[in-house]
Amino acid sequence: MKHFFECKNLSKDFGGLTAVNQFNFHMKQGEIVSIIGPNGAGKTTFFNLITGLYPVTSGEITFNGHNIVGLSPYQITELGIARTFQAVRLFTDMTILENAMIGQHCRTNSGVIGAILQSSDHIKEEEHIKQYAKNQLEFFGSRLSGYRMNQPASVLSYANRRRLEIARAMSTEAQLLLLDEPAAGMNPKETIEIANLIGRLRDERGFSILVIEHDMQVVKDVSDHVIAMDYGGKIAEGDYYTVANDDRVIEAYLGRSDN
Amino acid sequence: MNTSEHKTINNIQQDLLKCIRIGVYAGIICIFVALIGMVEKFNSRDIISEVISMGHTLLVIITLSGTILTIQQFRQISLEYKHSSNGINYLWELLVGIFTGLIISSILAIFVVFINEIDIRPIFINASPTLLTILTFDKDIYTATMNLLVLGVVLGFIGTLFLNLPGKLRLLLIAGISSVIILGMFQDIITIILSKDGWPKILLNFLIDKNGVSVTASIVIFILIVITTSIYPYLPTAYENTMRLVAIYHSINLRISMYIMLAITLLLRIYWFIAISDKNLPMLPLCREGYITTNATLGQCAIVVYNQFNNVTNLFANSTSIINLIITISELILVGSISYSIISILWKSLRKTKSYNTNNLSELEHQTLIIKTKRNFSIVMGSALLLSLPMLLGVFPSEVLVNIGIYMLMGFGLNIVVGNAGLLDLGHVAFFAVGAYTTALLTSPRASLELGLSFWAALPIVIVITGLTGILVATPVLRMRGDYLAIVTLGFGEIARFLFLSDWFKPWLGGAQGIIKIPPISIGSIEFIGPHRIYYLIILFALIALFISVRIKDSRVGRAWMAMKADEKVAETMGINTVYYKLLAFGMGAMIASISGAIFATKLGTIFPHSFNVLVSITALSLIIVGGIGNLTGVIIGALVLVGLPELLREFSEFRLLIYGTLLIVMMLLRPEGLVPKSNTNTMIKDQDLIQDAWVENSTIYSHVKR
Repeated sequence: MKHFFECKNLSKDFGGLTAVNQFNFHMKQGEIVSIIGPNGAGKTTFFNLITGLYPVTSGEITFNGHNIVGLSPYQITELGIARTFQAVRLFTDMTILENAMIGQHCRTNSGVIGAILQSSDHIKEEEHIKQYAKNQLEFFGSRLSGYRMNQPASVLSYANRRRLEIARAMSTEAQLLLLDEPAAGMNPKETIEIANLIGRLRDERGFSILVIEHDMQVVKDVSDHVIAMDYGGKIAEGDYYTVANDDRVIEAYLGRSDN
Repeated sequence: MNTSEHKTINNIQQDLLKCIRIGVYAGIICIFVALIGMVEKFNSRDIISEVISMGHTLLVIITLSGTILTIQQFRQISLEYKHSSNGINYLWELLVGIFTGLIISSILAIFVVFINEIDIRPIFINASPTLLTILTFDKDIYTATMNLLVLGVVLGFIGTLFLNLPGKLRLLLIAGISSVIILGMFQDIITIILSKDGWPKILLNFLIDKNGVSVTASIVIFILIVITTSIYPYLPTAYENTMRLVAIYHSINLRISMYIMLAITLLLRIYWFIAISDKNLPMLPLCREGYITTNATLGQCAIVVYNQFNNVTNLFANSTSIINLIITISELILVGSISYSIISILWKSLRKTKSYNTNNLSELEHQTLIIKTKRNFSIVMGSALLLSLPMLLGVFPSEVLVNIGIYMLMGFGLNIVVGNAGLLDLGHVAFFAVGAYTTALLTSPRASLELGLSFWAALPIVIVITGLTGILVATPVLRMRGDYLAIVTLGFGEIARFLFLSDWFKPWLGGAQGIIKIPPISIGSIEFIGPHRIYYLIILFALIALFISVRIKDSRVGRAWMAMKADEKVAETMGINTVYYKLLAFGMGAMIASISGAIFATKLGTIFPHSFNVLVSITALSLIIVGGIGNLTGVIIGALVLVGLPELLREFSEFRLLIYGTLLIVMMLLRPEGLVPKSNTNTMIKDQDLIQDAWVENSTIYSHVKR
């Protein structure tokens, strides 16, 4: 049976260090899967492997039946995987709307000639991009839309930057969103909101979501499925309670008890 | 109480040290400019005739800046310690200012005594008797030293006074004085323009005396500038009100009639072009040029009348250019209003009911109407100015304008690579050179290919070939960014020059001899020879480049470039093919630079490899940086400042690079974002953002959190 998204024996070496080691993973469409694990477990490296930022040492990744190993990041995005970053990386010189419009880049194709001549196709497409981007921004309520859309992204507060990054990923029309610690650095209220948001992303917009998260409350609230990683490998898998009570997970986080 | 007193005394010691330091620096700078010969060279010209020379002005400016800097420093320290009362503060400032002035002048005085006693000419060739005369004001050494010291005190006093003036008054003074100084600096070019046949001699005689700006003229100009500056804040409102009136009374589609007016002007200019090349065609009164005497009726009449008047008063001589300009403008207005009324009648009859009643307009519609009117107005005025510049200025200034235009065009190309895509390219001259050489090869009958194509047939080939070169150069440097990219492209620029120079390519490219006999650009029988015609070509292509740049900047491609500039990795994960967009940026930048190179080649008629050295790339890059990176207005202003000024100040070309460097350093310190920075209200908006967030958090959004 073909899975929606699947990794088989995925490994990544940095010289002598094996960051991801024989990792096997699969998820169904419409699922929200959380990845937890202590720092240095290889979670973000795993994301970088999926999105093509790092070349894969061995193993394979399939998405919707396509093997995506060896593709460029932009090709992977075109296939329908979009991500956010652990340290927020927005295009701070561009306006909020333009940041969201960037996401539509891979779904459109007007070029230099169209832009110079302002052909009707170009204008129509530009309008479509703008509408689509606005639509994504409005998903976050009044925080990103309205008068604020034409201000540079650098004016946003930290939490809103995270939201805008999600909006940017949304507007690539991806099927699978990879969220790298969306609640990091947020205050408790914002954290609740993020958890709520991840649920809405799936329910209202139909994204499948793979999320790295340290905040166990968020993990508990949103996940259909939790995977715990340590030393580049999978140490536990299952629903939240199974994983949270797994001996190896507790050991990875807290160390071995002496008895 | 005691401690604060103690602090104040400490503070004074510090201040004294600070003023001594800045004063010494300023004094050393004075000696430096004297020793390199700047003072002597500048002294050959007077700013105000027989009153103050440029050399003296230079020293005065250095002294004044030293004093002002010191007092500003002093103020900063006083702010930290909080002096007791304002009155005492002023006194202190005055003391500090005078002291600094004294230090600077005493250093200069020591220098004067020194070069009076010891001949240092074998080492410092510029420490000549002339310099001594300049510095001593032709007095004996004792009086001169005293004079210098007194002058220092006076200048220190003036500096302090100046800083303590209310801001408005200070601004007026700065504007007035600097405009007189600027006028004095550019007196050469002004003389050239005004002595052109056609400008009234009286204007020249009034403005420029024997060796500088005349006293009366400087006073008049000072007053004029002061008045203009003082009413400047009201000008936008006045302009707005005028435009409002225009918008109300001419609310029928003004745009079309304006454009038709513009088209007519353009057609007349084109006709002027043909007519001066082809003697068989009559010169229409509407397209007269200053130095061509016309046999046109209207103009003739005016000139006859004018000459009569002239004979009587014997005041003006040969003012045909001004008269013609006035006539041309009035003719333009005439044609404009005629065409306007015809169109409005047509328009009304076509759309019977749809004449705007301004009372029914909403405020928003009214505003858009005014904005439209303003835009049309500035388009028409701007293009009228652009079109008539070479006729008003004459040959040499047009030449300068053409040079500015060539660099501007190259700047537009480089701006795509550096400003939009963020790829630091120091070898842009390579594309300029390829454009020039390809044009030469294709068009010159003496080139190795012996093709002798016309410019217009060659241009597409040139553009395509240079674009491909751009892609070729970009391919190996795809993985580089920032400094590394700059170094590699610098290398490419030099490689290009060496290839053109090499014996290897000599049979095709002529080696150091270059390619000669490149024919001028022509349309039909009109040949674009001479700067005041090439100017129009440059304007045409610069406008096209500007247009393309503007259109691309706000498109999907422009956004992709901007994203790539901000963060390449993220751009790639957001679905942007960075390889393609880098190649595209280099290709487009090269294409625009190639047009610049092509015009450069046809303008000179001959090209040599040494015209394409690394300094061209550096100038192109600095004009982008000076103007403000990624900013199209910045490119224009940067080209005017960095290419125009050195051309106009050719007289002092020895010190060109020194002045250039000083300007760049000062600018980077004062305006690091360039002359035309992007509007930056970030911090303000950020505060708003936080407030809004707090508001959202407290409101209803959490009421439906499922938990």
